[in-house]
Amino acid sequence: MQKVQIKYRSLPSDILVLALLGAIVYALIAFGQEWKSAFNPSVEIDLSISAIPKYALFSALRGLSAFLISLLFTFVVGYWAAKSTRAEKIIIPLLDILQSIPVLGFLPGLVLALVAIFPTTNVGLELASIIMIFTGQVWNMTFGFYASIKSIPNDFEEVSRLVGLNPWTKLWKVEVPFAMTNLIWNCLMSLSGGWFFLIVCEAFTLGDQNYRLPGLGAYMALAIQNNDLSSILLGIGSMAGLIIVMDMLIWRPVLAWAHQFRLEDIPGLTPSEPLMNNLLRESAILNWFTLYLRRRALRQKFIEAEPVPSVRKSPWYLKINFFRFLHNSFFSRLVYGVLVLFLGLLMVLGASRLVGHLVSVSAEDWKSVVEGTFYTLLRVFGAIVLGSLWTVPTAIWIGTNGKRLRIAQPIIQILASFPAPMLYPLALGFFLWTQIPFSIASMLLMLLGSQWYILFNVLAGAMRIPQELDDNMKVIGSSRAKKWLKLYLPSVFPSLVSGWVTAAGGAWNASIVAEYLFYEGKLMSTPGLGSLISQAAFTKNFTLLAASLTVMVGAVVVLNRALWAKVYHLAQTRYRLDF
Amino acid sequence: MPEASLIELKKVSKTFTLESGNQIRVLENINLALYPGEIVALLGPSGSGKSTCLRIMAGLIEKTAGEVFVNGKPSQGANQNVSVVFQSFALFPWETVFENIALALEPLNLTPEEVKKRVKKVIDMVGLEGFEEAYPRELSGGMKQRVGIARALVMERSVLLLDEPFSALDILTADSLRNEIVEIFQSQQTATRAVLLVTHNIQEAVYMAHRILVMGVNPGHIRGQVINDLPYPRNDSSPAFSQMVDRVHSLVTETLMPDVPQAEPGLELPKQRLGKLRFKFFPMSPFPK
Repeated sequence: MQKVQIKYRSLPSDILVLALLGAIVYALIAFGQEWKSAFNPSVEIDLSISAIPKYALFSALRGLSAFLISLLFTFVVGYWAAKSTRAEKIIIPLLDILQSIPVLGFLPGLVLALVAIFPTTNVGLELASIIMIFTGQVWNMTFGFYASIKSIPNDFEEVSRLVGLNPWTKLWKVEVPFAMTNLIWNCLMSLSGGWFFLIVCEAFTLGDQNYRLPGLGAYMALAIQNNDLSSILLGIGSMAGLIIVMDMLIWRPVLAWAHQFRLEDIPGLTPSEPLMNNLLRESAILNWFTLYLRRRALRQKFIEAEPVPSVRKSPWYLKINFFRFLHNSFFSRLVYGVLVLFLGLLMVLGASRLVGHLVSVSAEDWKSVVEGTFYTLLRVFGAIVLGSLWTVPTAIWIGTNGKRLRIAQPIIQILASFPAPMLYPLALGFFLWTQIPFSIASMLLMLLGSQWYILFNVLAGAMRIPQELDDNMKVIGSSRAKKWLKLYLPSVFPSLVSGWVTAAGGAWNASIVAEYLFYEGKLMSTPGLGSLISQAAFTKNFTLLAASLTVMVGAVVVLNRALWAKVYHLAQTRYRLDF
Repeated sequence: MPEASLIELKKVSKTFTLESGNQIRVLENINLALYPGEIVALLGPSGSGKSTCLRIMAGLIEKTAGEVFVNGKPSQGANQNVSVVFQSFALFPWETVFENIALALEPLNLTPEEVKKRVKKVIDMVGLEGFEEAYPRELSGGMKQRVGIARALVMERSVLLLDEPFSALDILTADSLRNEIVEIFQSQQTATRAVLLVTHNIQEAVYMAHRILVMGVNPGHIRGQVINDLPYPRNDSSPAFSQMVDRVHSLVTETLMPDVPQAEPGLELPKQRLGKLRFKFFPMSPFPK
């Protein structure tokens, strides 16, 4: 018998695997120590290059911890909202409001409360930081998951009912696979969304107390404060490195794996074998380990070979029947009632305190809030218009060609993942050098982060333009201009609108850091709602914070309901590519 | 004693409420029964509510009025005695052929060995050997529908509902699949005891069914019934076949039907079924007065 020889190019792969393992172990231990260490609200940040790996690992761990919580939240809350009409009526509007609250709205309360709960260790501060990152990630993911489950094709629904799948099996065999592609893209966007405010989440001021946690965000904050250009560049470089490494270690393999869940084939979007998978496959250590596991499983099977009954035992989670419990029973009503009561109480409490704050806001403050809203509104719309001008043609140009898409997609993905506020010092320097006043420059800064939402959405729309329609334009012999006007622009319109909605949300949020920031060691601010919120949060002026936050949430929700919902409806009815 | 029906609809009506608040009547006063041993075709133009009728039988949608009986008992919710083959195949693109079929066994909690055995049996039956590990997107339309059929058969339910199963396929593929379904049904190697075929194709109905129920539109109702006693295997180029097609065709195209339609001359039940079938729920009688 011929012996099959498998050769592994094992050494580099093994080194990589060991290095990864080592990094993970080191990071976990160091992070654990940081949590346990005595309460120190403002650690000394080391601007030297040797400190960067540790900071990067800490920031990554914070982001990932927040992400895991977000994922759990998404599955539980998103599923619940999709399955129970009663819960849906409460959860969806609530999420709508929560997602329009910028992270600074959560910051003072969270930090003060958690530090009070854990006064002796860093746990409170670390938790506060993680939860703040969580609030930047989670809403989008939950909405996306909910929408996916709600839009499962009727066919799949009917098959599940005919077969008689229980809710648990249906969730994992039908609903999650159907939602998977969307979920993963959402996760990818959300993880970078969580990093948008990394600087704020790791370094902030409350009143006269400075808070700093060891991490890349705090590193950047200090570098910006010290106006230390080489450290700023180093910070930007490490953040980019972190994003690229995360992309290689996590997202490439996950996207390649998720390819099996696609519902349609889009030319150019077939992922190439990720580098990571290649390396892992070639690693002798890993191969040895998996072989060992398989052998053990096989041996177990032979040893325990006994006549098996043809019906297997029902697993425990089906016996509990949590899902039926969720749907319709006395208990569900009870749980629901208690929850509503609890939420109701919380809301009444919050509302009464909010009103208490709001009535004590001075007329002068109200005037600045109203004026600020007007200026920020102008900036948000300006950013969207400017962003659309370049992103729409670019996205169509890339999205309608498989080859371009394959090349551009990973690059755009990494560019979009980069937290824009870290680039603000450089960008602002450039804008001020070109004599642009700060009030307009801050609009451009807002654009820096939110333009990617438009680009991504239009790209997704352009990929789905049916080839037949394109071919038809060719057969007719239409000019290029006509093709863009009659085919491309109308086809991407629905996705452009979704892009606008998310970009507008992002721009409102970004106004907080774009209208009020440190540059060359000194504070710069321009009238706007964002700068009011920043100023109020950092000076612990809770009445002004309450007023400006309420107005921002109100503005975002009203705009969503009044303007975007109408445009979206038009896009969905008139320009849907549906056959 | 009439043989017990497997599924029976009595005076079933269905009304859909549109988004605008308007109501449309899709089915009105439908009476039909499915008995063991027969293939029944529900034939009608689009919009006659044939698929709605099928979904009510399967318990996938609720009727507005009337009653549904399964094995003589009133039925609520998803009907656990039927399996459905869909026009659009309704396969999960993220599962292989094997997994798609095995999914239908999920609620039975079988051991992996037993699942393998049962899936293999139906895979052999519909001719999918060698495609177990393929994904639906890698298969032609005909092969996809074979998976759909295999999934329906593996559930071992007594009634097989076919919802325009061949409309998305090319003529040749559809021909061979029709033949195979009839053969599988007649071989009695499956649990299937009766088949209901929803179709708008007259030849298809005549080729496969013992009984053809012709539906009319606005609102959907059963206009009449044709008993098709041509012997199996049927030859679609024989004069008798063409005659039958013509007869059904005339019934379908006739724009005006009498309220109590005259039975067609020369229409007789197959000998062995006489006395077994009662048509008291039909507005028309297949027997000449």
